[in-house]
Amino acid sequence: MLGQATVGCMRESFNASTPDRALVRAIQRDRSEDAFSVLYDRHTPRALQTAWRLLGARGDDAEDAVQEAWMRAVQSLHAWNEDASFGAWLRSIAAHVAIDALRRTSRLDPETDGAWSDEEWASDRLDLETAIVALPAGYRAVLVLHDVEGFTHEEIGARLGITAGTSKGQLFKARRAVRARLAPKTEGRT
Amino acid sequence: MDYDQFDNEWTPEELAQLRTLDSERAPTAALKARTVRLLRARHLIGARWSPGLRSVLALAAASVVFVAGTAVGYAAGARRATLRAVVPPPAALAKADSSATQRQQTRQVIWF
Repeated sequence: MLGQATVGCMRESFNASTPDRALVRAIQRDRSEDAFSVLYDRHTPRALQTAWRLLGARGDDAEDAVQEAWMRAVQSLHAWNEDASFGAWLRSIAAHVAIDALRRTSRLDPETDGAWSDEEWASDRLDLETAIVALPAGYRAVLVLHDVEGFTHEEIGARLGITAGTSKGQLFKARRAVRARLAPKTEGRT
Repeated sequence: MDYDQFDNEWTPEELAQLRTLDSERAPTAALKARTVRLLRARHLIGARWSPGLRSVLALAAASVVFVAGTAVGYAAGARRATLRAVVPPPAALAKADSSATQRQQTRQVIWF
């Protein structure tokens, strides 16, 4: 009893081993900046990578998207299902923000956005990461969300405002485009 | 067009390559600083009472209530004592009234 009271008067400390659930509760209860700092350090690198890929390797835009994702996440912590992964939830928000950003700048048109420019064909061979990042935005979004992040076509459709069938079609074309890009230039054009 | 009919899945080699993609990207220090600043500005984190301060404030509030209660109780007690000194209790008044009106004193003189 006395021990509990003593602990109650002491400042809570958080570290890398503190579970997400405890950190989230501390943020909700006390607006704990320390708890947020640990949560941020733990989950930001993956969320940033997701946003970076979706936005075509534009670092500043990706960081803006992650900042916005954190703001939305902290505002709606009550919506996080504690049985689910906090990291996956945050990445989903970051993906949503990145897609919104693509849509705002009219760089996301899954139906028509499929052609590479001659400049993009210029390099002989690319690694997989570069090939994905160099995809047109509409293809890239579907491929990253499905093949890298593990979303279903229905989930992707809901996020992008397209049907699940369209999402499948975009994925098909995206994979074909990546394969062509990874092959030597002569193979890729045939 | 039904894309399910095409065998367009990644080959095991491609899948293995996909799995080797970096899953993390190091953010800049500036990103954390500005994210924290934004969340503070929106009162989503920071600048609220810490658990320790909250306990101290709760203790102070309890003390104020206790002292106020003691003061009110003391004042009420003092007022009652003053009234008791000025005005006799109702029972004493009743007794005084009955002895004055009902029990008439008689003086008996006996002559020898």
